[in-house]
Amino acid sequence: MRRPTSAVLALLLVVSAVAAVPMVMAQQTETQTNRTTGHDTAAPGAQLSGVVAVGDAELDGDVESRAYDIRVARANGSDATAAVVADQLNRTSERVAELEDRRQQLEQARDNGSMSDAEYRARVAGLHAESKNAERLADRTNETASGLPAETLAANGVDVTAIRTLQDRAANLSGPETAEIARSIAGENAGQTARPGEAPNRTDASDRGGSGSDRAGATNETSDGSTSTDGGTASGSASDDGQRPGSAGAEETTTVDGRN
Amino acid sequence: MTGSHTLLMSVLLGALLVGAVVAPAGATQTEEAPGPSMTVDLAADGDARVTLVSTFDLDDESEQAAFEALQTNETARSAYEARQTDRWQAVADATANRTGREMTVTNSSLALSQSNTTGVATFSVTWEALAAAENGMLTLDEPFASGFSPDRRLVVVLPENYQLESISPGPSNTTDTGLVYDAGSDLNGFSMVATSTAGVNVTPDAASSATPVSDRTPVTTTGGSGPGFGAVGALAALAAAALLAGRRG
Repeated sequence: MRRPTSAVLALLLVVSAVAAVPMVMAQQTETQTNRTTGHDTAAPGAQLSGVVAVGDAELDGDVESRAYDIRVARANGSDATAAVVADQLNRTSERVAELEDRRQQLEQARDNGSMSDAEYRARVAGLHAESKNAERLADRTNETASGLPAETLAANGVDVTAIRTLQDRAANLSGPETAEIARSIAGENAGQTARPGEAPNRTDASDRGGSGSDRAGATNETSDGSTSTDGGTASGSASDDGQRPGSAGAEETTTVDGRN
Repeated sequence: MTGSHTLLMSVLLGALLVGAVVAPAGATQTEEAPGPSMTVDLAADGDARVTLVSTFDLDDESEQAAFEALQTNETARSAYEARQTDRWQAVADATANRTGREMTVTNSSLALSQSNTTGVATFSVTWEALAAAENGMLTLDEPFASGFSPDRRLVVVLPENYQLESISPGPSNTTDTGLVYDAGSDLNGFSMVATSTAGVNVTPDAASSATPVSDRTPVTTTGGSGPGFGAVGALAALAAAALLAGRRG
């Protein structure tokens, strides 16, 4: 979903580069170090790359989930809803295929040495979060389809068996190794999004990525599912990934007190 | 001046006036969305305001409405800020283990905006002690030195009245706002040293008198014996202005 930098900005940078290169070259010194941290799996730089990728994937997933809910809410009648399901299935299927390809390419690059282990881990963490998005959408699509008549689904080209196959493919995108890498980079909640009606999960200091000290603020989940965040940081666990307590258009039940 | 010319001029003037009146309302529709970037805006005490800009294609009306819904959902944005703050703090902890400096990530914020069919997410944190500050000298290396692979433009902005002493690997280019590394740059072994030109030793203890990073605007940096980056930026801006004028003409 990334958009390339605009042509004007690109030209601006090119002009700056042409003018600046000689000057910068003069400023550089021979301070190149001989660090060999590229293969250090605990490298903070790789961790940062992974955190950035996971964060973007979560925003992307949040928007995708909300967009799907909006399409379903706007669909007028079963037939129109089935058409939304069919369209989403195609989108998710293409996405899963793309992620499968990317995972394979990453593994090949790591195995043949063209990609450092640190970069591999950073990219896999992002891929894990994107896989969770696809898994969530496949689950949501299945939920919607389960409420529609079989003949309506068939008339719109929706194959219920294909939905389950897609769910399995999406779930298998992030195997144990991938999930462990994502956890080490971004914590247990890597790939989490807060859809309407879903309360952010409680923070657990052990959920933090990397070495994480206990800096998490308190997020208090109440008996009615509402959540309040006071002053600190909050994150959730992955224990309920795939479970969707909320429904499209459900009212927000969460409240947030001021942070920072 | 003939009647037809007068009429033509009146129409043109009218169009200009109408354009002037309606332009502000429509300005956000034509405003260019920023490109993805990560900006590290350093302060003299070694703290940094790190700003991450991410862009998203909003391909249809439902995606635009979904982005708008997220934009107005404080709960979701706060939850995201909290998760990301935790993760950035974990990175800071790993970096602290390498550098021996205690680091804290605070004041996270997520701002969302739309420009045409592009959603823009701007996530910022203050990273305390990201750079080592000692006797008017700033040194920045980790976490960028170890396995960081920028998937977007990385911009390092020096504090006001600081000049670049050394940097490795060299930036892809420079602008009037800082040192720029293109997406995909190899930053392994990254190290940057800058020194104060003010003739005053700045130490972390002087943090209270330093301008907080969140309050500063990007500043012109100078380095070595070459001309200031401001001159380069001015040339670039003139070129961009000429380009825009050409497009409009």
